[in-house]
Amino acid sequence: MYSKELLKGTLRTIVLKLLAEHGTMYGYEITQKTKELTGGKIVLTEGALYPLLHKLEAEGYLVTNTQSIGKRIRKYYELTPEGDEKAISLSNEFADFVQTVIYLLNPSLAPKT
Amino acid sequence: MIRLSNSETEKILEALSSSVGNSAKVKHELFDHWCCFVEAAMSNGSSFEQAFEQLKVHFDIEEVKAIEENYLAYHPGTPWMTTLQRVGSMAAMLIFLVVAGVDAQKRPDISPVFDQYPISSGFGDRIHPIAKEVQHHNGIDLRVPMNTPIRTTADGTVVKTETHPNGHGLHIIISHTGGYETLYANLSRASVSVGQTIVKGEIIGESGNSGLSTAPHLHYEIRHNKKPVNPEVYISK
Repeated sequence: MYSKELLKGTLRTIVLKLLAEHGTMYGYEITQKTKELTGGKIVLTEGALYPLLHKLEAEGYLVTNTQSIGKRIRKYYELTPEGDEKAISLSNEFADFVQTVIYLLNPSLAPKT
Repeated sequence: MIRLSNSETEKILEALSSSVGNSAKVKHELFDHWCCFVEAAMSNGSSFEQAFEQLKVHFDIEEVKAIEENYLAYHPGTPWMTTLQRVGSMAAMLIFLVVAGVDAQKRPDISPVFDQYPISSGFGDRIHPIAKEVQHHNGIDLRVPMNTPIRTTADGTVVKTETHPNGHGLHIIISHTGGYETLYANLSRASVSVGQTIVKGEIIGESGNSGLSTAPHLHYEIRHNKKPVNPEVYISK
């Protein structure tokens, strides 16, 4: 598991990108998918995930759809077109950032200018 | 995949309510999340009791606090805000209201129930099923089974929860912006209290058969500037 500080800035990118790839998902599914794709190295806590989902909804990046399962209510999350765009721009930015940090930590790998 | 029984679900809800209280904004999501967690553990061979213990270990009280703090940090409008932020967001809200207009934004436009149910009695003049005379029906009756979760149809504030045995039975009235009020009647349970702020889609109680009623149903009313309007027109398809 990585430190909270490291994850903080990437959470939004991860959640948006997952929803962009998988369409409609519910909260528990998002945490399980993240765990599966990262071999358990990134674990989204409920404490971070749900407030973020509420925020993304408030910002217009996703919409929710609610279904009742017996006594439970399940909320499904889906990106809006704005959310799709945001997912692309954030993940491109992040990939670029990772590349830059790799060069910064290993100057020998950096392309000669 | 294992599906929890009703009593097991209840047990999880009790544990959740005692750790986050009833007002938590993320309660419904957490409830489903916890149930999924327990179901997954049971699918891997744990008994319900073992899975429930794992849940308690996995999700300690610190985690609950973190959710509340995160939520506060993400949602301006709560007491942690400084006066400056408050003034700033009010100014922003004012501009928003002026520009966007509140009416179209905030009017109650979703169904008060999560699934589709038949309308057993529409809006307008009808022969009252008990009084047997023509009366104006101020709302719609949805034929929902007992104890179906009822949600509010727009952001608002609870202005009334009362029981009228010879009328609406247990009912809730919520006041919204733009001169709208919604009424949810013949309930079996109200989970909100007067003065509470409610967000659109939040569960406020369960349907029932209280008051003047011949069978379980939900009576749902929208009033615009105190005048009943036809809810069917407002519920977006």
